[in-house]
Amino acid sequence: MARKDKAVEIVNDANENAIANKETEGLSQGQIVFRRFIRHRAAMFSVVFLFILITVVFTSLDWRIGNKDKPLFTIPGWWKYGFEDMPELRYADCPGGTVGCPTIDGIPFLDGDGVSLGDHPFGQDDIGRDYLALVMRGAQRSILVMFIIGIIAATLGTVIGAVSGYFRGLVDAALMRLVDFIITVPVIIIGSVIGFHYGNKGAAFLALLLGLFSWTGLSRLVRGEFLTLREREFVDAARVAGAGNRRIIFKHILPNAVGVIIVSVTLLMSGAILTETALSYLGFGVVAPDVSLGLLISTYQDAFTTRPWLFWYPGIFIIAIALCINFIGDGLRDAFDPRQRRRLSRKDKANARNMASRTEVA
Amino acid sequence: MSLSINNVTKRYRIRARKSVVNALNGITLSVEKGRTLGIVGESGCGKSTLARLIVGLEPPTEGSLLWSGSPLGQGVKNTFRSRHSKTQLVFQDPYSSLNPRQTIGACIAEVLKTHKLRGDAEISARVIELLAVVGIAADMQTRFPHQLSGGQRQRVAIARALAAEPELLVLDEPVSALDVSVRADVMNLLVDLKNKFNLTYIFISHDLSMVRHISDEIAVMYLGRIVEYGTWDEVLNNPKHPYTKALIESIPEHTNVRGIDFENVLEGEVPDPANLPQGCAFHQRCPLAVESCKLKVPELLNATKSHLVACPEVLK
Repeated sequence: MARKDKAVEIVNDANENAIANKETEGLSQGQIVFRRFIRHRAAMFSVVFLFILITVVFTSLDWRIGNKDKPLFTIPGWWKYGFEDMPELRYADCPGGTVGCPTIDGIPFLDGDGVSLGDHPFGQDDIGRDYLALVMRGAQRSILVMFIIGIIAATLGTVIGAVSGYFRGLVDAALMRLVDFIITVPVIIIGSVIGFHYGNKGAAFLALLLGLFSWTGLSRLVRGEFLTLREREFVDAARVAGAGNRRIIFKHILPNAVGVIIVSVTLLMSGAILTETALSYLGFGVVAPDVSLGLLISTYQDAFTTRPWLFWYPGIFIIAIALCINFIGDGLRDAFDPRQRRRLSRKDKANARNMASRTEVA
Repeated sequence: MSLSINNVTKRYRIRARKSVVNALNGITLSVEKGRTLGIVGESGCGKSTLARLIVGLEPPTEGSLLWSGSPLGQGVKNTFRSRHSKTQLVFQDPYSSLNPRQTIGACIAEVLKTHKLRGDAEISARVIELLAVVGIAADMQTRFPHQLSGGQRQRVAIARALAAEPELLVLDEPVSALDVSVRADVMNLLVDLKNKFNLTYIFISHDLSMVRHISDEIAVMYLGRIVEYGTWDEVLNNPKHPYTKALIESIPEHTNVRGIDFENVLEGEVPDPANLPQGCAFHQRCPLAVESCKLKVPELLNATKSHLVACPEVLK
């Protein structure tokens, strides 16, 4: 009996393999990766959520094209206030004698008036500015900073790591000493200096400069990965097959290193949001009257006990964005690994069992 | 049309130990077109280094490798691709010689693209043709290496080598990583392919029974030198060199009675190639060694017309 069970198990295994094979039949590598990614629930949820979040955030406020005060034309946002508007501060019905509390009503039917946003759903700040508008503007800045730092650091880190890992020798020594040099100075100090001098040039410029200093960790990882992969036999095989350096780097080594790169780039991007937050918190990041999520949190840290909404809303946005990026990175890494087999659903297993019993009869 | 290897040496500098590893110490060999040369020897005797030199993965330190008169290796960069299309290598381990991120179809198509052997439109037809030649169904071409068995992978590796339309195929222990049950299949495939495409083989192995199966000539290597060379019949049935004798006697025969020790098993280890012994490299383990063996490196001398041995003692 035990022996028969074992036999069935082996056949089951073979059939599961057959199912996995059937799924990848006739598909290009890109399609296979895409399919696997779609199947990753947390990652797909994060993609959808992040997409909605970005759309909501970037359409909320008016876009003024051209001169700030006399714009050529304005793309209207869906929210009535701008982040610089100063409507009247609301005093009425706030708990504990505070001012500008949120008007959002998320508890339906309990107090009889259903779900409603109210005039200032996230409340108002000290001088009456609408907090929803401020958080939206802050999220815009933070997402912008995150993507700029992510793209610059990913490109620089991958290229520099790949070059020094693949060519080794003098090139490697020179590049890695540069990395050592940059890595010894804490990013927060570099950021403070940059922010102090160039903070008034805007968030995008700040992000650009920060990106130029945050590729070092990634480049070390990529270098290590290239050093191991270049010694693998399939690289020699590709060389015998007539592949040049460029083809070997991009077609043979890089696809095998992509998991490492993606994971650390996503970590780097969620780290970038936190760096920007920290810099703004220290007062070296985005400067008033512009806002970022970090600046909001730092401005109202004293209000945490009395008016916690000034703290919660930007905080929630930071966490949501950072988490989404991490989940997406997770999904991408799994999708790029061809050895990762998905857990078979109950339906697939039933199919496999059917096939097994059929072979047994035959 | 023949491969001639003239007095090739290969040394690797090890910076950390400040020493030099002598992988090959003056190899002279030639292979006629259409023949199969078997190269046997222990691990670390330089078999794989020789294979890498022949396909031009590394240049020789000294000496030259010629294929029908034109040089192979020596870093002739501009002829890199044309050179590779004449000599191809099948690696030992098909688990590591195929890119895990590449489908096997893409792997073979790559060779056709880099050598510009087919136009874009003809590539997929040619890939299917090549897979059919090694006995793999066309619908497998979208599979990744991890979805194949060891034997199938090695077939793919062979198809990739054939894609370049080589004249000389270097087989670096092509079956030693495979299950015993599929070895015979792959060996038969190799013999078929040789006849079908009129190939020249260099078959490297430490397994004498596999070498016997396929080779016309056999060269026995020890520490980067050839110690015996001749037709397979002469080398295996009438071995001269004490090292060859020891190798042949160490083949377990199925007729051997269990429990009986092998006779004449070599004692000691292979000397460190970074610190070669004076004179004949084998003298420390050789049952026939005399004082003069420690003085001079023995030359390959004719025992018969087609049988060369690097041991003056057995020729006396």
